[in-house]
Amino acid sequence: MAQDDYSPGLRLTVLTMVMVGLVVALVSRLYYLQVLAGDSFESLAVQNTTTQVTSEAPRGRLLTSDGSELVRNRIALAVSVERDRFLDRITGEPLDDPQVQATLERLAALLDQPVDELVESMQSLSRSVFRPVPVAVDVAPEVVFSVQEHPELFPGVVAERLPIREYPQGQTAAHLVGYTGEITEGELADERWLDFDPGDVIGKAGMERVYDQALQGREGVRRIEVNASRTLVGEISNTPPVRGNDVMLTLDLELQQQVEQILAEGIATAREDFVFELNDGTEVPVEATGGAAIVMDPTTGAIRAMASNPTFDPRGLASGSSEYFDYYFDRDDLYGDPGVNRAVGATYPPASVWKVASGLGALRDGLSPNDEVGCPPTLEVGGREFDNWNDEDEGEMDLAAALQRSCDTFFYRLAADQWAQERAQEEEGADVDDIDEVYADAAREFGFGDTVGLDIPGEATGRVPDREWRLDYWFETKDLSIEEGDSINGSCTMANEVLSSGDPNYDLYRDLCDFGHIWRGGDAVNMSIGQGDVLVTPLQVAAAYGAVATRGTVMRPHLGEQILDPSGDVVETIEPETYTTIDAPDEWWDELQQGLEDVVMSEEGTGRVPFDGFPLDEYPIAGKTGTGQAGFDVEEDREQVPYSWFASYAPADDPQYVVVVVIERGGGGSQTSAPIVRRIWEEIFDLRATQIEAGPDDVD
Amino acid sequence: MSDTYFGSDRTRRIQREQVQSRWMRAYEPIRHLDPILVATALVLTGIGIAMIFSATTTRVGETGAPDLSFVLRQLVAFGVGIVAMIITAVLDYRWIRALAPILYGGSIILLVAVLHPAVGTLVNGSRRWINIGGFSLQPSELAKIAVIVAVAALLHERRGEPTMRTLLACLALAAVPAGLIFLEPDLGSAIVIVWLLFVMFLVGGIPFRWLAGLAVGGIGAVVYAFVGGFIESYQLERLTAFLDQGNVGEAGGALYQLNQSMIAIGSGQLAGQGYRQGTQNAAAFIPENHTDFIFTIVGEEFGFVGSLVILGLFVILIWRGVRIAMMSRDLFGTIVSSAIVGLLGLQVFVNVGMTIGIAPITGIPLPFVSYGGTSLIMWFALVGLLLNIHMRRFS
Repeated sequence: MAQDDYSPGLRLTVLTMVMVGLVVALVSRLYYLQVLAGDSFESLAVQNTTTQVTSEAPRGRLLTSDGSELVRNRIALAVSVERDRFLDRITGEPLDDPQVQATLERLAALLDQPVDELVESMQSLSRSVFRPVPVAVDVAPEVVFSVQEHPELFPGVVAERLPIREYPQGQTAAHLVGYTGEITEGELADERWLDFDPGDVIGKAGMERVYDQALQGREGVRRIEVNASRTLVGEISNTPPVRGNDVMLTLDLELQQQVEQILAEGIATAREDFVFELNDGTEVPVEATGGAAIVMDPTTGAIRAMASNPTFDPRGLASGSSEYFDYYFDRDDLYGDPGVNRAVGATYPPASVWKVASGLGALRDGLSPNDEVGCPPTLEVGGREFDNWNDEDEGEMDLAAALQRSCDTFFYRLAADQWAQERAQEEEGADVDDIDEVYADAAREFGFGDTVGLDIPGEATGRVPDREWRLDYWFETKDLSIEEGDSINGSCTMANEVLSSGDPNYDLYRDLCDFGHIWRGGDAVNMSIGQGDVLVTPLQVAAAYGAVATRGTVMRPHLGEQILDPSGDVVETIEPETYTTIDAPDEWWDELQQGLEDVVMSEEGTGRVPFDGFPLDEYPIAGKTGTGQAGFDVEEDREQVPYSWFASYAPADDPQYVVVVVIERGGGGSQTSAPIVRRIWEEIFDLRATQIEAGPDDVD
Repeated sequence: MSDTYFGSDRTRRIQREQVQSRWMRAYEPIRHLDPILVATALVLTGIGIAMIFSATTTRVGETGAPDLSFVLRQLVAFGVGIVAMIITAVLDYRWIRALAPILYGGSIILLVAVLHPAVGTLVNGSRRWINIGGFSLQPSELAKIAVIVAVAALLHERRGEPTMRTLLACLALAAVPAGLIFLEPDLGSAIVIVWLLFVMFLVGGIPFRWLAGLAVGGIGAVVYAFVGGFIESYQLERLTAFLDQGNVGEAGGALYQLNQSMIAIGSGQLAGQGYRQGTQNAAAFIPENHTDFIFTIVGEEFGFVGSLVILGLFVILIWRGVRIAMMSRDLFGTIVSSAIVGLLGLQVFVNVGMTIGIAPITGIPLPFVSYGGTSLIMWFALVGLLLNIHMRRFS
């Protein structure tokens, strides 16, 4: 079979061409990789072999004003593991290697933990792979020695010294100190935490959060060379960590501890012994589910003590135990959430402590300090009767006396008259914005209805109700109201036809369905004595009473005093700030102050009894009781025990401190809160401590 | 006269015989070595040993004396290789042609033996090596030589006019060792044998249209092997990793190896990082950087220039090989030389190509340079064979 096309030369040429083609392919690819794209591969190579390991900087301390430590760092002995030596980098499961298994078992025996738990704690923490993961903190020194002396038995296990948050004063100021924790994904996305990485520890609440920037140290950065199995082979540079700055608080440590104790004692005593007589005459035990106390310097706004009860132990949170967290923060019982700082984050109806705001409102409305208004047992407004807190006709009185006697009907009268004027304006077609709502505006002058700017998070705004609010609120809740009205009694539109006017719910449904947007006389009257829709925080009350004490200056309350560097030098001083100034003539302040002084220091004052035996001549105290109606207790099927308030400042002639106490379901203002406030004043003025005893429960 | 005549005649005869014998000596095989071929092979081997030294001793962070065992073992293999080269050069290649059946039979026996667990050592899931007194023999390397010699002998018989029967016989000769190698499994070497067959058919005078048919059939078989599930998934991953380079940064597996390899070679840039200065190899980012991925050392430490030098040396070997194929006095020599050239070109392309992402990742070493005794000895034996064909072109 002759082959016409066969010639070795031709065949070899074909082979040669194939070979040349292969070489050209290699050369062009190499030219691309090494010459054209060489730079980018070079930088990839650098990324491959160098890495940064950061080491946590100890946080700064939190100090009280005398320099005592509220929070500091403690060095804890810990056993940590290099996760890559134990877990698969991709699946996170323990490596299937007999040596790894043996080490795990030895470590588990040493730490007295099951292997499963050990593996779980390696997996659960989201840390840098170059930072060993702590699997046991606060281990015995013997454990550390075992690990260090037998590296051959524990490959990949290291003994470390970890900085841990420590609270030398225990639970003191737990709500203010706050706590720290690992940054969450949500926080990482926030601009504030731009420079942070997963696993970093940040302030989660309280001062730890607000002053986080100052407290954070500069983390140590170690640039290291690694090989393909990600083990360290050399060090390029090492910047040691720098401890964060200390934050000195305005708190007086001793006073803070005493105030917390007095509040707790007062609540415990009230729960145990106190009884409150409801409007229907039944006597019920005082539940005192919680409370708050504030001691503030009215001239600067510096918080000297702030307590909230129930409280929690920040040490439990520092340990990171979720059981602890669940126990304290995830419960739903009578005593509520101990995580809430009731002094700033909870709102209550202020009741009669509100009367300073109503007093300013009345003066703004044209009442002169000497004008007298009647104080009957009841007052009829718009066809409804509104009662004073007692049954006697106390006759004509001026504003100071109305505060002294906490006369409700005095304020009803003034508020009703003002409301009638406003209503007339409304009926003439005036726009909501043009109606001069003097009482609401006066309350806002004191700082009610908005946060007053304390430097810890979680401040509530409270509520100063007015026409605009009423309309908004009605719109927001209208659908729900109508739905409820329908579900019980048929459609709202049928309300008129179906329900006889004798139905006790008739007014309520008409109100919810049809008239809820109207700011009515009853609303204005209720508001004038701090009931109805008014809500305030204890902090706002403290700021407002500070303004009365200073005759018109509302200071911004603050907890931070100074920022100190690790050597103790002052880096920054937090200057007192004026929140707002109330422009009012001296006679007005005289009148308001006189009224508050008389509450405590005159025989007729509603706060007189709890201060029996107190050296008021030496330490004159001005104050105001408040008994806030809390609504209906559905479970007990009765009226709820009211919120007990007492707000005060002293010395009355040269105010140095404002003291405010509120007790939830605490009964009368002079019954429960006033005795607690008295104890606080005894501490402030270094007087002999008296027993907390119930004041009268039939006085406002 | 007669004295003169006889004398002169005698003189002339002596002179003629002297001249003839001088001519004969001039045609003596020993006078027709190919120094360029040998020198190039030696230079490549020397570079290889230097690269193995860099790959096996440059370890960041490791202290203590460098581990010279790899270099020493390669030097021993080099010595054995020189002996093998001398043997394959001295023994007349036509004798080797006669010994083809024995060589072929022996390699088949070894290929069968290596599959037995008692003989073959299991490494990374395949049985490719037989351990003999501290050295490991790779029967598939020997099988390549056996197939070359056997098929070349058969085609030589047909003197460039092969029949369909010859063709089928050649296919059968190649199919047995290729199949056994596929069972190890060593997909790369099996494919190499198919390629060798193709090169020998090309040079041995198989008509182009038959070649085209074989190519189509071969591609069909490969596609069937992939689709039919004859290829293990890890093999498939290695083979196709280079098609999947978009996922740079994905950890683990063949893609990781390829990415790291390309980072190392790319970071060498034009002139390289310097001998033993490459961080990627030193930090052990590239597995197998002394064997299959030895080119990453060249690329990282000597850059584009160094890569060109290595490829240039291989081009010289190819040039000498093609030249020898041209000059061979018989078809057997031509086919054997061409097959050696084809084997060299394919191995260089596949090996270097896999490190730079244009060829599948297979366990094919870089001739003369990669660490590995069997490969080095085999390549010197093949150089000896080329010398053999070259120097006996007159006799």
